[in-house]
Amino acid sequence: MAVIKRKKKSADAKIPTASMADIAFLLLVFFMVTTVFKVDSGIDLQLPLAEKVEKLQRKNLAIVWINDQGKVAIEDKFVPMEFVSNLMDQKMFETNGELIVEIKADKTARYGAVDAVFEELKSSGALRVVLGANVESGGR
Amino acid sequence: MLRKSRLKVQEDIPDSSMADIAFLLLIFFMVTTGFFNDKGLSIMLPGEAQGSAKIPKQNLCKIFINSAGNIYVDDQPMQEMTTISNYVESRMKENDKLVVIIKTDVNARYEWMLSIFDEMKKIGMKKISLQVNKKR
Repeated sequence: MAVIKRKKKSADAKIPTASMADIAFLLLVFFMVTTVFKVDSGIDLQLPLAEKVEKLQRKNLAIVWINDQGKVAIEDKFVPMEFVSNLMDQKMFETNGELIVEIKADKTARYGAVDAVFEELKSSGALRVVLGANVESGGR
Repeated sequence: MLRKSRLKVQEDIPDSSMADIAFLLLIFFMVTTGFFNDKGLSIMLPGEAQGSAKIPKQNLCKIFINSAGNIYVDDQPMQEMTTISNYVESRMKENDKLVVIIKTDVNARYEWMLSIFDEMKKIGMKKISLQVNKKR
């Protein structure tokens, strides 16, 4: 009896770790493929809330940020309102005219600032616009 | 004799730290991944050429938002979103050519205009015109 017990104790239980690296690499490849590094981290603002929202595609998208002071930022840089149409002209050229502009404006921004951006977009012919909104409170 | 024993020495690539390296990279990519999850209300801006089409008055529904956040629908003050959407919906049922004009004061909050716009989308109104009141 005693002999058997001893034998059982000495048999060490190991977790098989041979496939650990494979699992890790599998997950790694998944994240590498899905990762898109953010070029446009944006400015700090609170989007308004809406219910009837659609999901946006990343393709051919340009984001125009408007903060609560009515300042406009494109690709992490504050730009004067008069330059928005120049930048959009360039983007229209890059995307072969299939540009979609997302306007992310703070909910307390003046409507006049949003309207001024509309005017700029109209003059560069970027007519497909999406007004960014959140479904529930919180977040960007 | 010596030579023989030397030949027997196995050459292994050390792979015990492979999993650690993989997990390190994995954590890096997990942390940096930001899934794109933007949502919004889409609109099509009118081109420069159009916009001068005359619409008969009975096909218009005018919603005015002033700088204090008061909302007037066809010159009647309305506060509740549900009353506005019910009113517009009933007019829409009577007249399928109805066009909604959302006229917003420049000093009004963007949020107010967007919530009206959202209501119009919810009741299925597709013909929406955005105007701005530039008078001070």
